[in-house]
Amino acid sequence: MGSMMWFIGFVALLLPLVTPSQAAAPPKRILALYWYDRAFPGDVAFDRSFQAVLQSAPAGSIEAYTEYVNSNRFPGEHQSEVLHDYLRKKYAGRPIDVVVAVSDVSLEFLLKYRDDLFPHTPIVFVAVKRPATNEPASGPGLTGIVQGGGYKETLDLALRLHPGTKQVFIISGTLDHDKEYETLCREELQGFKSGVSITYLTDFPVDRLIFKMKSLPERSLVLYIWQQSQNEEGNVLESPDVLASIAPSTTAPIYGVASWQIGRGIVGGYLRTFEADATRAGEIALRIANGARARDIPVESAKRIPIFDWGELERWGISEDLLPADSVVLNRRPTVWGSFKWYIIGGIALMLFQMALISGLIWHRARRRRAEGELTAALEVARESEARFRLVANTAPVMIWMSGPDKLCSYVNQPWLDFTGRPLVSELGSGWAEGVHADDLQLCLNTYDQFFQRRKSFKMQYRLRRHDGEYRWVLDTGVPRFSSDGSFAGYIGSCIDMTERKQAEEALSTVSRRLIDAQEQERTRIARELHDDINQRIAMLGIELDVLQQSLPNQGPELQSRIDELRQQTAEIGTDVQGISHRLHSSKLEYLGLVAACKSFCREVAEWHKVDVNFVAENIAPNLSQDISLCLFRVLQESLNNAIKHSGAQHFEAQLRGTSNEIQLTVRDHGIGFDAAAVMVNRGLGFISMRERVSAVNGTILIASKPKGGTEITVRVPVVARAASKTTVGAA
Amino acid sequence: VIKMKKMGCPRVLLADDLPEIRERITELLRGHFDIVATAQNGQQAVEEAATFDPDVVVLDISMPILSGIQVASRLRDLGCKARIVFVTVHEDPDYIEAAFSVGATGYVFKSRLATDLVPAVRGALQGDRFVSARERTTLRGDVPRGQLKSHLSFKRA
Repeated sequence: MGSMMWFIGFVALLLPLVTPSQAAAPPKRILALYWYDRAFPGDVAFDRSFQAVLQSAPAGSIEAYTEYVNSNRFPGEHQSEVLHDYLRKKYAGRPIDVVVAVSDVSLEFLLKYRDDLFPHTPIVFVAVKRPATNEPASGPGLTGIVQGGGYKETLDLALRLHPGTKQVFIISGTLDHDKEYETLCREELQGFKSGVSITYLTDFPVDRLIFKMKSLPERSLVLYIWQQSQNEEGNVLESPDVLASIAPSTTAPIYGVASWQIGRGIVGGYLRTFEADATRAGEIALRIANGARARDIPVESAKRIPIFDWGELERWGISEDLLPADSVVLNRRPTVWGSFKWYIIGGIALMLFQMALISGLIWHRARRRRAEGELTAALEVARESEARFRLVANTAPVMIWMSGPDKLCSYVNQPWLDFTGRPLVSELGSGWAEGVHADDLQLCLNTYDQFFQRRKSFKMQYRLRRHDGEYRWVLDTGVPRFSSDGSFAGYIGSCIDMTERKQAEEALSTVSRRLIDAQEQERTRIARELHDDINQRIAMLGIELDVLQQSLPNQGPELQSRIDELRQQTAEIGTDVQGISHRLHSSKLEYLGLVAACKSFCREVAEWHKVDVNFVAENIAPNLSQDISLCLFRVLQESLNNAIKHSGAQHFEAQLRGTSNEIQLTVRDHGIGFDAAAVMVNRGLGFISMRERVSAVNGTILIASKPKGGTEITVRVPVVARAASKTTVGAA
Repeated sequence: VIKMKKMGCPRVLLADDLPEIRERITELLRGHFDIVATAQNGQQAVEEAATFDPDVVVLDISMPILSGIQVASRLRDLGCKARIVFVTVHEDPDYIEAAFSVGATGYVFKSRLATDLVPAVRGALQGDRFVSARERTTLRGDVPRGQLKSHLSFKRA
């Protein structure tokens, strides 16, 4: 840096008018001079690394220039002159601070024309040979990198890798046939003692080299240094091409000295590289550009590193384990794994994914099949259940129907269809109602609706048209259905044809009436017989006795008394028979009418049971028909007897009230009462009798009673309108 | 011919369905009254009464077609002025009451026929009510004989 400062100070003194901006360090010019041209791979590789180093310098501080000797294309002294002239003119106004000679040829050219071209410019060389220079110490300086050498190092390595090697062949040669490389090599291998014989194959033509390679003895190896050839047409075969030509036919492994040989047939060796040489040369050039003196920078050997070709290692069966620790193996043929790692990973991943997918699908299918199986089984069970239900339903001796929560009929069994003689579709929905008798339909629908809302069981009777057109009475029992989850599902019901039962009931009713009639007639007959015949005869007998007594006035008192006693007994018998007659069939009803008979009965029963019976009759026609009179009288008897017997009350009321078109009989007590509904259902004989009697005269009977609330029996009997007189009778 | 012979005698129509009773009553009344006609049922009694216009009609209560009560009621409705004396086996007060309610003047139990009929008919002709006295209480609740008698005696007076 001190020289730099001095230089700057010197320039400042010489150029006092220089502007301050120009005073800032001007760029240093570095010129690289290559041997061949931009088409040469070695030059390209070198320049890439070299430029990279220059570019690492601060921006604007370095200007890089590149030139090519190009002697391979333009050989000869004349061409050198032309180039010299060109360069001199070209760089006349642009002094170069450092010139870098890449290759021995470039260095030779520079040294030859140095004084004319770049007399004050230090030279950095990269050359096989150390230049023999006698440059004075005051000169611009010459330093660089010597590429040659390294043969012994590589040979040692090769012999280590191939123990038992007997012979080593060293290939070298130049177009000038100067044995330059052989000389270098011999110098280095001077005194090489390893028990192998060394043979130099120098300046061999390519075809001879190939032949030689094919016939190498066993336990030999080759060291390829450099070999250019010129064919018959004069075209130059460069060293890499020569190597590439001979390598395929060699019977011994070839080792080399430079990295560019890798991939062209050498196993490897301690190789110099363009990259390392260029980097180092760049660094030296920068140092000099920045002010270092070239003479202060010692010439150094090219850096060599053990580099091998993977393919050749394989070819010669050399284990990588034997290579030096810091070896670099190039041109690894990618393994299947290496080449297709991501494909393989991708493929395996895809396969795994597919397997997972397939497994999932299989599992899903299995599960679906199981579910299907279960469903099938469930359906089978349901089908069986359904079939069983239908079998039972269709063989049941009753008509069965079902409805949904929408009230609409959803099913009827075969007996129903057999009964109505209609197809199933006609019965479903609301179709069934078409068969119901018009007089019963409204009540039927009302009942159904009413119970459907409350979801309660119901029973109803209606007439349903049979297939032959006849309406039959059916008893329909409906029960709400609930699903397993408790939700309302509609109704199921059954119907039985109860026409016969209905007829039987009617017949029974008729029989009851007939029985009552017959009984009544029989009682009447006996009572009348007793009264009209027996009683009259007894009366007659009494009269005869009277007459007898009167016709025998002069007889003794004993006979008189005896006759009187007979007459008395006769009267008593007569009275008793009359009583029996009266109880069998009240002659009062017949002779005195309903009101008198009822009043009399109330009085008698009150006296007999020692209770209070208040009988009131209003507006009762005296000329009622015997049927109605008898009916009302018997109902009064029955109900009053029942009341006295069961109610526990002491006071009873009986009323007969007539209106223009009916007579109403009411019997009331304030006793313990009873369950009227139970009596209706149980149909006590007394009730049946009363009901039948009332029914026979088209009347109605109503029993109103509740426990502890007393009882009231009301009978209404229609009568043909007749003039009636108001009669009110009290009885005690 | 008999009718003409007995002119001036009270004229009696007798209605009873039993021939023996008719015969006995005829015997009992024959010496005292002119029996203008006899009837075997209620319907016939009404017709005979309309025909003969008797002073007294002796009626049984229990008769076919029309009962004595009905006959009495019908006769009254027809404007018949004849006195009516019932002769019956019914000793029940209801009958007695019913009989008097349809305009009867006398009510004779058949058991008391021999002693009570002639006085009853005689009383009827005079407008006096007559009711046979009961031998004893047979039907429960019947008014004791003595009381009824005094009651009736009072009524008769």
